[in-house]
Amino acid sequence: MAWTYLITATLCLGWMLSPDVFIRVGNGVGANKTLFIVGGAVAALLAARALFLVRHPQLQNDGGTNRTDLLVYGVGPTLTTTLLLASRMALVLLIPTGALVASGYAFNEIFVYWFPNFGFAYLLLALVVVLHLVSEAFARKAQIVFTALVLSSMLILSVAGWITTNSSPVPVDTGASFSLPLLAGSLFFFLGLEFSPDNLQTESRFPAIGALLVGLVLFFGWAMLSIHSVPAERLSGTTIPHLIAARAIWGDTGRVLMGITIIAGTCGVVNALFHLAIGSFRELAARGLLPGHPRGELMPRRYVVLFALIIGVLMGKGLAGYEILDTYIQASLLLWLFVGGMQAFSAATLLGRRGVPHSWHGHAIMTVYTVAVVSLIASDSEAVPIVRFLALILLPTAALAAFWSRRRLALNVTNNQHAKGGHS
Amino acid sequence: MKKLLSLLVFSFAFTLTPAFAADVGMMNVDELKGMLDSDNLVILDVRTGKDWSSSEFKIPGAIRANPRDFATWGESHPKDKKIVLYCA
Repeated sequence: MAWTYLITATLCLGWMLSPDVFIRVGNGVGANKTLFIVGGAVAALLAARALFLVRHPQLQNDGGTNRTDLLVYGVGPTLTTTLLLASRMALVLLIPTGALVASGYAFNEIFVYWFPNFGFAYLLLALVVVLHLVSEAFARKAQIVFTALVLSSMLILSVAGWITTNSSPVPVDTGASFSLPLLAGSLFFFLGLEFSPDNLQTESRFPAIGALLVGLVLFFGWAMLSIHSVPAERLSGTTIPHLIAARAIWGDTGRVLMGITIIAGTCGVVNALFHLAIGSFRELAARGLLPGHPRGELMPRRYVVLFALIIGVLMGKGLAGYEILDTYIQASLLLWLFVGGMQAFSAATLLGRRGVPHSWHGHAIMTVYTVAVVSLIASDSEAVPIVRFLALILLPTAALAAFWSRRRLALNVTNNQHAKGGHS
Repeated sequence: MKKLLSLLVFSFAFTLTPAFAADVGMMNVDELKGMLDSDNLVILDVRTGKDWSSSEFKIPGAIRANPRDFATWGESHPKDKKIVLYCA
């Protein structure tokens, strides 16, 4: 059981330990300073409360309720299919495209200058695909290696940083400044806690809570180290605050350790997102809600190959060279956050019907997440492309889900009539 | 700086039409290194998206210029200076 819990916790850490999050942590602490710690703590509390609601023991009474089931009970099958399909597809295709290319640059600039950055990005993608093709269980176990590499590199770097800053303290501006997008963006740090032990009957909260605590300690520790090592204005204004902080802490050795973190973190987030998307598709397929797929078992390898092909084409076509990719990734994260809020809402609704006290917290979390999503869109200079992108992925998916829902009902009726005819 | 410069690939022809491409020269790392302090030099970093944001290496003093805005470069950059485009 401990092994299963460890694998689940490392999958939950997949997004949290990705280079994208380290960039957001660096920018956030640079812009908000002390207020960043407060924002991060509030975001962690909200994520923890949502987790406790979604994994409430009362929801397990019917023999196990996964997150897809929860959404179906809370908001209906069509909206569930729409939200899960759209959010998972956007996440699994766009975040890896950006992260893999960024890792290619990290490898090229930090480790081997002559090695083509795109070549390395494709190698990493191939590695994750091979892991999944060997077996899904093997790919889950590999997540432990990726996580261990990130955590050990960050631990060594942090220890070195504390020794350096304690021996030569630098003046630090610990005031609190306010930047709404970066503060509300703290909610993104604790996404990805959806994973649960795959071979246990109960949906234990422990792996996800453990992952959340590890993430929280790491973010706060790294944020404090960064602000002690690099001027706040530099951290908030750069696209590589993690690399600048690592170099400031320990020179070239710091860069190498951060390079390991970036590459292992990229493998971790790509692997975790593949698992996340396949897990959701599997749950949809089990309910007959995955468009074009008969009710029953999913063939995960087909989807892994499909994801990899699309990511490969997106990288080859140079999507990462366009600023719009960051806008699309931001939109995907907003949708992920919203889906998390909807899950808390659904859990709260079900628990409320059963008279569980404080279940209204789920409605409050949904409200906070929705307000955060709207304010993040409104305050973004790319608000129009974000809304356009969300409409572009949600509306066709909704139409497809509605079509599939009607077709499924018609098939059910036809099958029932055939069954009755057969018996008469 | 040497490491930084060793990574640079300079191209004058990056966004120009083939008709002009033959007239535009390439510059190697050492040539540019020798000119970095010149007042007669403008370096345009034409990398965009992750190509720019993920990179640690940015030439001090380089100006970011989006290749898609090439048609308007004539209005925003001096025509009497040597313009070097840095794209990777």
